[in-house]
Amino acid sequence: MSVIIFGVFFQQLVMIADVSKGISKDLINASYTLGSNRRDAVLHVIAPASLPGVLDTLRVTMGWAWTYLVVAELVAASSGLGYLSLKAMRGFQVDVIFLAIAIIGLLGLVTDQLFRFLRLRIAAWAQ
Amino acid sequence: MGSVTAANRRFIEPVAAPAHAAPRLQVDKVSLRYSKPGGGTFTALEEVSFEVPDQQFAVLVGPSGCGKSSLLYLTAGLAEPSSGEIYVGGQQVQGPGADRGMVFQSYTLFPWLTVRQNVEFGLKRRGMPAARRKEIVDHYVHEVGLSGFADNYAKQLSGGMMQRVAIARALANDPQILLMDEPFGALDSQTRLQMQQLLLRVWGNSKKTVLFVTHDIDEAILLGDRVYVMGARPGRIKQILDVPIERPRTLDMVMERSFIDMKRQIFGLLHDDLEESH
Repeated sequence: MSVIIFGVFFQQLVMIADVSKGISKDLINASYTLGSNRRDAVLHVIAPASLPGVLDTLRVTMGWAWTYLVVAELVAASSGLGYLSLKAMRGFQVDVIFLAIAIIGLLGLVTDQLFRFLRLRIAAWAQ
Repeated sequence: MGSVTAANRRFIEPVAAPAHAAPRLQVDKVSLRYSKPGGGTFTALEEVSFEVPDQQFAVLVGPSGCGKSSLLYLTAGLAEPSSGEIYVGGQQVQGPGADRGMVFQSYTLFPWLTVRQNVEFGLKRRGMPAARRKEIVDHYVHEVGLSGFADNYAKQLSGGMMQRVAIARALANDPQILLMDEPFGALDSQTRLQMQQLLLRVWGNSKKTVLFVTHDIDEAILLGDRVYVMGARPGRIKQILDVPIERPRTLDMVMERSFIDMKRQIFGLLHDDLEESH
């Protein structure tokens, strides 16, 4: 768990900071001239404007998190797909290894598509 | 306001304050200096002072780098002057506020909101009840001719339409003054002419005080009651000219004698500046 958090959180932080830095200054200025205070600008301009970018970074880091999870299971775990394939390797069960790999890939694909779908749904304006 | 004066009264000393009414906008000895990256300071504006009376359409025209846009940002409260003060409706400008609406040169529609929601943005921040909001939004969306597009998003609109939304959005807040920073600068010339006509009509109905920045001399004369000609290095007001053309204005007035005379005069003033800088 901590491997995943350490592996993903800080990159995520930098990427999201970068996304919000990319918002047009005039967009924020416009909201100020319409009566926004700082809180309004964050809540009603910076947050919605960064949403598509944030979802993109989530989609990317989800892939990394998934990789870290499997690696962590390979190294130190007593259950899970990584552990299963490690055990199968020791018992020379090639079919189980390939099944584990296929499931890892499939689950990765499903979560990735889930994020793509989510972005289409809640940030349709940015397509 | 006595904004349209006879041709022989066109020359007015800078900072000629009308004694009878408090000005809507008062710019008092405003300077703006930046420190240059290589050391030294760059003076964008040098002790600029002028006043805009209520309901006047004031145009700032000048070469690039004369600080005309900076002056607008300072009035909006989006930047702070190095020295001097700006007053809008008697109140000193300290930071941005809804009483000074602004239309930017770049497209600044919130792309995640529809036209209606964009126009509503300022009213919502103020916590206005929905029924009253709808009334105001309907009025201004209709005013800029976008009734059929109220539920469209920015990506479905043309550049001219987006600027029309920006005007409606600023006016919906009922600001004391409308600041316009080359709002039609990015549009093609046909659309630009249409937008100028639209603005003349909308302004005629609302009679808001406007401070409009442009580098287009035709646009300045066609729209303005008074033209403030600026010079660069350092940014300053060179001359204030009243536009001697009757309202309502129409596009064919650009062919009139008085229009062309004024255009020549402003061109001369701007040209002097070019000579100086070479």
